[in-house]
Order: sequence, then C-alpha cells, then structure tokens
Amino acid sequence: MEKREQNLLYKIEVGSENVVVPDSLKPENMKKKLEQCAWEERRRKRRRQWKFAGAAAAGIVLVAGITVYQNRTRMVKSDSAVINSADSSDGVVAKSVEKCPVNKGNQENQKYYAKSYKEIRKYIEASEKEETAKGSTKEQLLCADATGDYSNTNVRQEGVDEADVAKTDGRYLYVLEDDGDYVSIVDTKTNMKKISEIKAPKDETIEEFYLIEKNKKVVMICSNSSDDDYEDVEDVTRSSLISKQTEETQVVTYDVQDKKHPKKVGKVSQSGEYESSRISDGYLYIFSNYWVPENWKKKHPETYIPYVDDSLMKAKDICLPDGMKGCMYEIVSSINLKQPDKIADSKAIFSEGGDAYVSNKNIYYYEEEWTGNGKQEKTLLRKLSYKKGKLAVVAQKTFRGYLNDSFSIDEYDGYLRMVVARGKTNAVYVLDQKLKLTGKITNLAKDERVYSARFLGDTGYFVTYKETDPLFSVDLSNPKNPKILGRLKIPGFSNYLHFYGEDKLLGIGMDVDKKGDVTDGVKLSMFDISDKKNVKEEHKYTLKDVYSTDVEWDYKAALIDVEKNIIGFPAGGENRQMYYLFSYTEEKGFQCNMKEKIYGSDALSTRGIYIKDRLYVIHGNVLKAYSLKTYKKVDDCLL
Amino acid sequence: MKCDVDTFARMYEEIYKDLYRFALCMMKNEQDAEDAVSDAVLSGYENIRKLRDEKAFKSWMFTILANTCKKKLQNRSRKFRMEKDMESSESERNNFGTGHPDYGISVDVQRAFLHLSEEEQTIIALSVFGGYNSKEIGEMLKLNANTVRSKRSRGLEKMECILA
Repeated sequence: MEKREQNLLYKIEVGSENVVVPDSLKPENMKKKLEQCAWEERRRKRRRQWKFAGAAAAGIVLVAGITVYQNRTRMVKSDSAVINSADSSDGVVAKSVEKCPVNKGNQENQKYYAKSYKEIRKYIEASEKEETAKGSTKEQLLCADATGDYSNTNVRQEGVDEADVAKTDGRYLYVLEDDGDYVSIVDTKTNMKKISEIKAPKDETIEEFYLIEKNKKVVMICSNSSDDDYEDVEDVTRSSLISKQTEETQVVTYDVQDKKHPKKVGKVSQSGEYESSRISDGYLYIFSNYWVPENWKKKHPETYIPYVDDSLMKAKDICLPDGMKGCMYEIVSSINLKQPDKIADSKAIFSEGGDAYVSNKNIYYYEEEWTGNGKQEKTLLRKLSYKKGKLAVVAQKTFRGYLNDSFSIDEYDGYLRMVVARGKTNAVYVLDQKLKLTGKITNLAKDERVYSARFLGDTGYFVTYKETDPLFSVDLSNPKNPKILGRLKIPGFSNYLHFYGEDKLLGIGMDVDKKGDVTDGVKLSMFDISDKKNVKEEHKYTLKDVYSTDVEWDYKAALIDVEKNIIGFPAGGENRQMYYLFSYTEEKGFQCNMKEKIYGSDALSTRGIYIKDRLYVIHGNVLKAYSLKTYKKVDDCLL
Repeated sequence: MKCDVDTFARMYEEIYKDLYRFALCMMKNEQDAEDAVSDAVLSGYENIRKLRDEKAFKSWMFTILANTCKKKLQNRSRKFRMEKDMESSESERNNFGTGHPDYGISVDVQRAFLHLSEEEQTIIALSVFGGYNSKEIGEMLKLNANTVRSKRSRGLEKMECILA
C-alpha cells in the first residue's frame, strides 16, 4: 500500500478515536445478554432456523439466527417476572399438585380449566401489564427404526409418528417442494419420475406432512403465515406478530389410492401458528400457538379466544397456568384419521411458550420459567392424557431445573424420568403418574451441561460436557432410588444419541481437543453398553473440517438403520453440505461409504431415505439416487 | 470451538471498540450501529462452535458484523423505497454528514465516508478498524485481493480530497 494511502487510513483512525461505545455493548453487559441467550438456546426454538440449515450462504444463516435471537431476548425480558418466588430448594415443587389433586380414574380435573372467559381475561390483562413482547416459538420434536425394506422418519418416540418434508411407502417418494406449495409424488420403480403433485390450498404454505400407508392418505399441515416475516428483522414486535390475527393452521387430507389423481377428502383448521404434531393410534394431534392480539375487546370473545374449526373454544377446554397471567395459547386438537374433516377434541393450554414430548399415552408440555438471573430456572410441566383422541389435563407441576430437549424426558412403565440441568449441576428425577417425585439424584456433573440423553427401558444415558464428555449411565429400575451406574470420560461431546442394535449406543457430536477449545470436527462414537457399569467407547470417527450437522438439533435429519447397517446424515463445514453414509462393524469401526455433495436450495433441510438397495438424498426440489451396493449415483430427478 | 460465555466475553473485550467503530462508520447512526454489533455478537455466539479456534475470532466477528451491516443497510434502503420517502433518506444521510458531536467521529471522516460506495466503505473500515490487509479482507468478503486493493485505492482517493 502506498504511503499516501496509509496516511489516509491513519487519519480515519485518528478521526474516530473519540468514539464512545454505548453501555449495552460493554463486555460486562454483553456477557449478561449472552447468558440470557445461552439460557434461551436451551429452548431450542429453532424451527425456523432449520430452513436455513445450509451453511453455505453465511450471510443468510446469520441473519436468520439474529431474528430468532431478537425474539428470544425479548422473550427473556418479558418472562423475568413470571416466577412467583416459590421455594424450590428441594427439587420438585409440589405446590400445584396439592392445589389440584388428581382425581381417581380418568376423569378430567376441572380445576385445571378456566371457568369462564372472564377468568381468561384476567390472565391476559396480567400479561399485558408486563408489556410482554415475545417471539413465536416453534419446533419439531421427537425416533423409530425403519420397518420393512425402506426407511421411516426418525422420530422421538417409537410408535408415535411425526410429520416431515419427505416420506416413502416403499415405492413412491413424497417430497415437499422448496416453496412449500406442493407435495410431489415420485415413482421410483424404474427411473425416478414425478407422477403427480398435491397443491397447497390457496394462500397456504405446506409446513410438513404425513403419509398414512394403511389408508393411503397424505395429511398435510398448512399454515397461512409466510416466511416473509424475516424481511423485517427489526420489526419483530408484539404488535407485528399479532397483527396477523387470521393466523391459522390447517390440516388437509388427500386420498392417494390413485397416485396420479390425489383426491381431497377433508380439511380442518384451528387458530394459531403451527408448532408441531404427532400421530398415535390412528389419531393426529396437532399443536399450534395462538397469540392474544393487542386490541382484544372484553365484549368480543372472538378477539381473545382461539377458534377450532369455526367455533370458539369453550372456557372449560382452556387450561390455566400457575402464574396468574398469559398471552399465548398452545392449542392441541385431535383428529381421527378416518374422519379427516372433523376435529375430535381440543384443549388449549394457557402458556408462555414451551415444548411437547409425546409418549405413547400422554402429552407432556414443558415450559421453562425464567427468573432473570439464569440461576434458578424452573419448568412447569403439564400432563395431558390422550386416548382415542380424547384429551384431558391430568396433572401439572413445577420442578426446579430445565430440560435440554425432548430426549431428556421419557415415560416408561408409568413413570416419567428426566435429566435436568439445575443451576450449575444436573439431576435425574423420577416422577409417578401424578407427577409426584419418587426418586432423584442431584449434584451431578458440576459446571457441566447436558448435551444429550436417551432412555432404554430401565436405563438412562446422558452426556454432559465442559471439557471432556462424560457419558453417564443410570439405573432407573427402582423409581424410588435411581442410581448412577457408570461414567465414561472421553474428549468431545455427543449431541444426539441413538441405540444401535443390542448393546450399542451411537453418539453424534463434536470432537474437541483435550483443552476443550478447538473443534476438530463432527464426531461419531459407538459406545459398547453391554456392561452398563462400564460403558466403553468402542470406536470413533472424526470428520475433519466438518463442523456441523443438522442432526445436532433436528433428529429427523438422521437416517439410522441397524439392520441395514447404515448411518446417514448431512454435514458441512465452511464449504457445501455433503451427505455422508457410514456403516459400522465391531472389528473395523465406522466406515465412510459415501460422501456426496448436496445440491439444491438451502431453504430446506436435507433428508436421506432408502428403499431397498437405493438411497435417495432429497433436498428441496433436487432428488438424487445412489446405489447402496456401489455407493455411486444411479439416478436423479428435478421437481 | 467450545466456548462458554466467559471465554466469549474475554475475546469480545479485546475487539468490541473496533467492532463498534466499524459499525458506526457503516450504519452512520449510533442506534443502528449498536444494534448491528449486538446482533452480530449474538449470532457469533450462537455459531461459535463452527469456529475452529480462538485465533480466528476477530476476523470471524468482523465478517459477521460486515454481513449484518450489509443486511441492515439493505433493509433500510428497502424500507425507504417502500415508503417512497426519500426525504428521510436524505435526513439520515445529513445527520451523519453534519456531525453529531457524540459520535466521536470527526466531521471530516464522516463526510469522507459518505462519498464511498457501500463496498468501499466496508473495505476501508475493515482496513482501519480491523487492521486487515487486502488478502485478508478478500477472504472475508469473498473477493480477490487485487479487487480489494483497487477498490480500496479508489475509495481512498475519493476520501483524500476531504481528509487531506
């Protein structure tokens, strides 16, 4: 650079020497802000973000992240006064249960529900006083291994299906296109060929869908909220969120007996933005968030009470929280898949925003309560039973600590087991059917935080991390006395755990050097869990220069099948996303069989699906087929 | 890299003044600059595990901040276009140019920046506040080093008549 130019640069520097940095950006204040965010991150409200999964366009990814954060920061502020100062020094706080004893039998407990719209208004008013401004929160939760000779969506709870952006019935691929306007049906019998498509209703976007193989139906979950709200990053305020009072989630069902001519057979709707859904025992359960608009009017319940189909929800179907305020409803409706034009039952939980874990019998809705200093988190847990579509709130309870994600909470044999982070330590809780604490282990892994958890029968496994990655195994066979069986310390950490056949546990996460500062890349670990007291890392594999995989936060991105011996997932570093396919043997460890570039827009997340001996890598409108024998590309298709 | 809030805050402390000065030159008002830095830090923190090691922290943060500013400027101009309110666009410019005393940036420097294209501003601000050479800036902005050099020269030439 010329001297002259250097002089100029120097002048500019001198000319801006007197800049005074605003207080909010001072390191100590920024640290506080980050602590709040670190807390919020645990909520993993990343539903939006998955759409920006492709790390290639760094700018876009970052901006998406920011939007989420703006929402979060506001949410944190608004939540800070939620907590009443209930004494929580002893883990689970039993107050709500005492107040609302659970009735014997299956009767609903009326105490949980609102008596009138008037009572509901009190909550809204209380909430408004705090000038609450919250972001919308969405997420998909929950894994089952594939049956038959093709793969199914990786779900949280075996037996409980989840919607996704790509599905198969063993011959046809059903794929949600980039723009959310169509679900395309592609025949894979000979060469891949698109044979038809199902269009979203006018002005609606398809969020995700189900394929009901038995009845040959495609159930699409649509919403009228557009993704354009990203455009105004700065304007995510309460008023802009609620200006969309018409926000609604639709469930549209098509008969696909005749693949060439899908036929619409039913439609139902409910207020609110789509959050998540499940299918269990022939019923679809759909969750949406409805925000009470700012300009609600006392005399017009339709301005603050959500709709289900075309009728207002009744007060007796709305469950109230402990804290005397709320501005958002979580609406849960059930739909009999045989009667896709009718909502079977609905309940709304008056809430501040949480997540659902759906076991084979119950829905657990957990909602973190923020105390402001990040040290005394509490979680409000609500249990709704579901049986043949009939929903009933059966218990609610506040416990100290928070859950990392839905894998940290698990129902088995009538007991609910949880791994929770509690201040600077972690704990294991076991609760009975009424959510009463039966046993616990506290003060685990000081200064570390839970990265992943998985339960199998009487045993739970979880990974905490600070510098090394202790994998804990815990014996839960006696609900009154859970016991730590073993702990294995290895470098790095696993973000996702998946049982891989008998006595093996697969961990997907990050390899980190011994000091714990430098990430070496995405790591696969296979743990031998045959001796629960002495779990071993049998083999590991590090993908150098690959720093993230969608699986970390979206388990549906994983294709894992023990019988087929395939472990597939998208991952990327600074470059383009690649699809990786591994096999595993005790002798040789992990073997990388395939590493192929993923093509297509970065707007949607990537899915791997196999049918017989072919792997289909689906990314928005681009489908590629690979042979599972040669791992070479054999076919492709552009939608 | 694995990074907790304390580590992040420590790394941030070393560069925050420069980040803010950079943002101020790009955004031309304090509120937007403050927001840009704040957003960039939050997204940097969220994505920190994608960063290989601490050495790269500064250029990583500057890259994120440069992208954040770019996006914000785009939003701003889109908003103005939408409102067809060129006046406010003018007044926003003038606000910077006439020199708000609290900015701490000399009136000359402020004016000089107004003569540059956004890209020139980014390159020059990265040179001054990040201390980066043309090759490093090229890596950050995905431009080749020669392009960076010539854009920098052109930009500095424009500034020269005001600053010299």
